[in-house]
Amino acid sequence: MAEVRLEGITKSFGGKTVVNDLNLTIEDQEFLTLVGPSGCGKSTTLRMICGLERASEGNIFFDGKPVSWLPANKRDVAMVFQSYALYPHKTVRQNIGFALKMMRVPKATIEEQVLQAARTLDIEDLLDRKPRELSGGQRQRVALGRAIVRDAGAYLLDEPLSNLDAQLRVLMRAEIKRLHVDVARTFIYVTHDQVEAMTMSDRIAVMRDGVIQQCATPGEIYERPANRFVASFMGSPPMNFVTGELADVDGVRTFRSGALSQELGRYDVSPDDPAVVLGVRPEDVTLSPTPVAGYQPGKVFVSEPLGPDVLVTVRIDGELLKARVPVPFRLGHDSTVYVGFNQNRLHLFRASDDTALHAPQRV
Amino acid sequence: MSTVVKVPLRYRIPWKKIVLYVLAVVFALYLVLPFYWIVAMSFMHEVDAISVPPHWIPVHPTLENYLGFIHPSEAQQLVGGRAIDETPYSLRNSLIVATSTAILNLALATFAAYSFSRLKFRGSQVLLMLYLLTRMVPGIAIIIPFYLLMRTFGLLDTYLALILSYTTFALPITIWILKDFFRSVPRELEEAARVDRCGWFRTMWSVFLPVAAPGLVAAAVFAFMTAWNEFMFALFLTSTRAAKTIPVVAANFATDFNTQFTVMAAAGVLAVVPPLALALLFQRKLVQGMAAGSVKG
Repeated sequence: MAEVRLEGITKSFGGKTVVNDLNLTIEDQEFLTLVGPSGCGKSTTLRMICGLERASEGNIFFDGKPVSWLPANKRDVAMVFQSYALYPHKTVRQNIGFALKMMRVPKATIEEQVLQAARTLDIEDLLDRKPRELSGGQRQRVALGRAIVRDAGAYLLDEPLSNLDAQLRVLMRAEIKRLHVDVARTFIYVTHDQVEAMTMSDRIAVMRDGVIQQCATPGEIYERPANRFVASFMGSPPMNFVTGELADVDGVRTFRSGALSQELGRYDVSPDDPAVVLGVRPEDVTLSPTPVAGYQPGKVFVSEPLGPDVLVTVRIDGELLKARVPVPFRLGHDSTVYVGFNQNRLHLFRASDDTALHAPQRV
Repeated sequence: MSTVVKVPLRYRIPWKKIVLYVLAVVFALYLVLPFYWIVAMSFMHEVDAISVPPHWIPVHPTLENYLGFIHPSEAQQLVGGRAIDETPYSLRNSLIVATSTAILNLALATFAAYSFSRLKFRGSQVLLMLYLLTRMVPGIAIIIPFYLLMRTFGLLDTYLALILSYTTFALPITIWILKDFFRSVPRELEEAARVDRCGWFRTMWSVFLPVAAPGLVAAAVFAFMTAWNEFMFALFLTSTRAAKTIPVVAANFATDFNTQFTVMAAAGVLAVVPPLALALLFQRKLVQGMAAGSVKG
């Protein structure tokens, strides 16, 4: 069991900084997810924690002990690789038990622990097969088995689900989450999939260009994104953004952008610069076929049925906004529709630096 | 309303296939016939072997050519300066020299190729090209310096002279073969081994080298063949049965005065057996895609 602490971690490759002054503490037994687009430095961070890369600057501590100079084989970590990296010449049994063998664990104990891991992952009948005889999902389980058989302080998972098909991904997502509960260890998970991050984590660290943008619980990340990047990255379909400015209309704080005018209700903010970006999640947009007070007229651009609800793209004053509305939605293309925003769930960002002005809280 | 259009079925002569098969057969014959002829001849009497038109199948099959290597007849002994006596020794010498060359080559090339495949260092490309360049020099051009060098070190007519020479021939190519093969071994496998508590040496021994086995086998077989088939250096650097290899001895069956085709053929067949066995033994390993399934497929 381990608390993992990163202090001022910077990593550069030939003059290019991929991780910049990163500070993060991952609590013991926590499930923390590093999420961000490709090239944001999340995998590099994980590899530094693992010991496969050495930080250019900064220190890494496991339970308060510095480990920055320890190679991977001397750190108390287990890792699941994106490509699984199963040993092709070894059977599943040997793959899972390999680390224990290297740690000179008695043979009988290895056998017992391998069986236990296989039972947990439901791969007992695959133990004598070679990796090439396994399907993608089975390989993924073996890779997990190779990690959980170890009594490691921290388990590092580098996009372990990215090579699976959508259905299996959903299944394995739940299994990994359950595994975390069962083994009760620190899990550090890297993904570019915000759904995985939202569904599995205790906390999420959203990264961009080697810098953590926000580290908080999934709920907080979703409800109170620290900046426009976090707001757009977390959530699918992404948040709608409209650039405009703040103004007082008849003494009411209002957001204005062209023909669009939206009262801000309780979000009474007064930044130095009135130029702001309004953010609304698609599920906070409501549509009405008839005029409603405070709603803006627009035209249906396209509607995409998702099953339980419909994703409707509406054009208002040249801007395209996405709305997620319940079925049935019967308006055809180019029909006039009236668009309203849930006033309690608006987000405002400074236009100058994209930081959140006043992250609204759910009421 | 729909109409069904009937397309008449017409048999087309598959010319492309026919031409392809004929070419394949011709090419196979071109490769196999000389080998067949040497095998057939090794079971013939000298008279049948040189008869015109030739007998493609031995009419009076005999083992006397092979038995001659154990108990040569007086007539056989006269040919080629006791070549028949020397054949068993030369086979032993060839085996020792070729095996040693293969092992030494593999040991050196593995380290070199690993460095080229995994490390980035200044001049690596130039160095690789330089290795290949050494193979552009014809053997005849360097044989005199080699001879003088070996004489100075007192290595003439020893295995070591041959092993060292052949290693210089085979090493550049084996490094190239292995370098490309090692690059195809996923780096994550080594990283996984590191995380699984292996040090560098253990990672190499337990994970990297077994995964790279097909490449290592290919490189070893190449080095073995290079040493096994080499003629010119063996001719210059050896003089007695202590180190003479089979190509040199086999060539001795043809002299200015006489040539014993059938015994020469038998020696040739014996010379082919070890490399052939080696190729068959490792055939699976050679073609096996060991890395399949290790990473996402």
